[in-house]
Amino acid sequence: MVFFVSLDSLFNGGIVKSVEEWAESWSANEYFFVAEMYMSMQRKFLFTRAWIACLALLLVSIESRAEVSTSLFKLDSQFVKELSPSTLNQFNHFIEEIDKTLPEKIKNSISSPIHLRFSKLDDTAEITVPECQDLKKIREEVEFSAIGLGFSQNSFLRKSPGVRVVFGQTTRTLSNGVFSYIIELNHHFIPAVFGAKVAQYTTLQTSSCGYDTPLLLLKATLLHEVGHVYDWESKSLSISSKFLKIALWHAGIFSETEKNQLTLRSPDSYENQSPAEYFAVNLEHFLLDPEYACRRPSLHRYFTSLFSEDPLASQRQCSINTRVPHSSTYLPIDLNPDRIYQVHYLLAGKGSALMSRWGHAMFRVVGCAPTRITPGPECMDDIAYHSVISFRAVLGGFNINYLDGILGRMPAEAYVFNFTDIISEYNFGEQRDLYSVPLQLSRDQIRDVIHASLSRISEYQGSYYFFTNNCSTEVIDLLKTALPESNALDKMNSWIDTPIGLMEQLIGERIVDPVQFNAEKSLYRYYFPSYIKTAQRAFKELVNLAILPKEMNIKDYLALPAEKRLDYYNTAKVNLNPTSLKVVNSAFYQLELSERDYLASYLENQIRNMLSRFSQGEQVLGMSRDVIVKIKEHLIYRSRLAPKLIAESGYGIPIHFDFDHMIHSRDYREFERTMLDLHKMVKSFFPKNFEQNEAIGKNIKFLMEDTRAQSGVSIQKDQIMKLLSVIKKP
Amino acid sequence: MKLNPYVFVVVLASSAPAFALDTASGIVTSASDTVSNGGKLSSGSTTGTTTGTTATTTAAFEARKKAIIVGARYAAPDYYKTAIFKNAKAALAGTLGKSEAELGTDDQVAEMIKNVAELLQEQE
Repeated sequence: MVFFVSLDSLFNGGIVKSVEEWAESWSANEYFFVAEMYMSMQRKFLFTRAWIACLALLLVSIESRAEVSTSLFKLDSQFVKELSPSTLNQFNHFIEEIDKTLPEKIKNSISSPIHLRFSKLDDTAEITVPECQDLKKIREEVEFSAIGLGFSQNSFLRKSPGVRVVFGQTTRTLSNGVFSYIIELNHHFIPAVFGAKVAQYTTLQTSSCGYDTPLLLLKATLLHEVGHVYDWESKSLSISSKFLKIALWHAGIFSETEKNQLTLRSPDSYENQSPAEYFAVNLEHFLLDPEYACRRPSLHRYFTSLFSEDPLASQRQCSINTRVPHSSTYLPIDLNPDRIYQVHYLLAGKGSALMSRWGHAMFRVVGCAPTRITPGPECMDDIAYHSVISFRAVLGGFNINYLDGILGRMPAEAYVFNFTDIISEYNFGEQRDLYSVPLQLSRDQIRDVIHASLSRISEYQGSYYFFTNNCSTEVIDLLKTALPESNALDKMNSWIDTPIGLMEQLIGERIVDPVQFNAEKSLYRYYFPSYIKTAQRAFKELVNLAILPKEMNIKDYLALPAEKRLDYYNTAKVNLNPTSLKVVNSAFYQLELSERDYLASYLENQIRNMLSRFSQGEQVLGMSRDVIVKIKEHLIYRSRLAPKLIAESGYGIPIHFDFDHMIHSRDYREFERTMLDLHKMVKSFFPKNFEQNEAIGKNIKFLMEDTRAQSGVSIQKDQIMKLLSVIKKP
Repeated sequence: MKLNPYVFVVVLASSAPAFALDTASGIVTSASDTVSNGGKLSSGSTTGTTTGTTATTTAAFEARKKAIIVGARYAAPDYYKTAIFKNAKAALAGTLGKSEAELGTDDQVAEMIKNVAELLQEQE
């Protein structure tokens, strides 16, 4: 009614304000129409006729367009001026789609309509759909990096994003104690989306790495901006403790939040700008991408719980890929939560090196053998099916640069190994104990830890800081993802704690089951002692049996030539009965294995130091350029196999990972070939050490043959050969 | 000998080991070989749409191989009851396609594990 009485003022400049005031009570679509009529009349100077026509049309229009109005949005008059009726219809349809897409909880939480307008937001000339990550380009950069100085493989991960187009923005203003919101969308969307004659509303799908049409991009943009409004209206959910934990944003030391650590395989790198952007970007994908549940399962669960609905459940065809590549062999390791009995906090005890003195924190995933019907305590025996997730710093060169570690210049990644690799590495190679304590987790919490781990493995590229972002903090952060409401975890100060201190805290807060590490039942289940302890025990036994002299210590014994050590055995065995011989034989055997470990470890250190000096330009006797060339060649093939580059180009956890393709690829074969070439080359630099190694091998063989004959072993050589033929390389 | 010559890939296990070398096993079963042994090995994950049957078979075989190598160090009467020995025993049985009972007494199994492990080590 207000419209009619004030229509004359329409032509004297007062109309815009009048209509705007009047339209406060109108829906967005009605509002466009009035303004558009006004423009039409101005152009044609048909004042009187238009007055009547306007009245008639307006009444019809109000009736027919009321069905597409929404209570959530109100369109700005400036925008309406630019639209034809057909475009306006398309836009109405679009708004309707958005309204249907939004969860009820969001719509109900926004009290007043959001003003929408299209504006010039940047200097770009058009809207372009973002491209998928160019994996080919990244691979080339990796290779370039590998060939360059320092052998750094990770510099490519730190590239800053290019110039961004501003797709939309939201402004909040406070007036009379009430907040109002204006969402501005990039005006280039109008020709890109609504200029098209063919409506595209019904068949849109997100691609695996972004939005593949301008319309979908606009839809995502508007949902993103509504996400900001909802975030504000919900008292900043994006910086709530729960969201920050699930999203793996760190609680910073100097600021409330620090940069999110999940920066690889991101659906949109803009999400790493702030927790608010992270929230909005992920909300977009939650609402638009049916695969979001499989790619970012932890966050999908968060949003589903928040809105009490899973809007795309009926469209979902994917399942979460729980298989990840082994960090060395690239063969699959399955972390299927349904086949996992427990997750343990795994601690490697102190080592002799500077950075080993505080231990190392990891997760042990207790998987079950395929023969187990359901996960249960018996899976503790299935060591071959246990895996380890370990956060480690990756060094660019041969030696540790401690300053880089303090300043965070070393990248950190999540590695996955078989548990037997870790036993070999720590118990045998580094002579360190392993302590495995079960985390007290429900089945759902195990699932949550595993899903968070899968995201970490796929997306994580952090910066390693010796004191503030190390294995301890990573373990705690991951646990907080799975247990965001745990007060016990909140109490823990992980950023300054050591892995050993962390275990004490976990036990103190009852987050892990305390284990009596010295109890017999814990041995090789929860406690894996350094192999040197096994060797020491064997040595003591031989001394007690007077087979070795009392005055001799283990170091002196192992320093003897291999042949001399065997003499002790041969002398002793003459007087031993079969039972005692078995015990004595085992003791000598274990001592030989221990010596072989020591030699391997010594050689690895020697080679590392030699390569380090050589790479810094120092002349190393016997070292040729061929070795460096081979190293580079090997590193190139290895970098091409980086799992994050081989996986499909989508974001988050890869849904498809073609392991078969990888292990049959030329790169994989070359990776192996160059590794074997290197082995041969390096061997030639240390002839004496390898001679020692061969002598140890002879002792081991002799000891084995000596008891095999007596024990009546049923295995025949042909059986062993058959086994070897199966595993032998072609 | 278990030696990792490509030490340029130096990994610092956070405030832990000074470095941990990239431990590619050195023996990677070829696809055709593992297929010939296929029926006895785990078929792997049943979830997801990820491909990789041959790789899964190879991975299962590798896991068993490592279990045997680790278990050989504890192939002595004092350790027969430990999970680490039992696991090696199960891995050997699985690899040879026999039941654990068929392998014989623990003493005999211990000898087999040691011998197989040594041959596997030699391959590396």
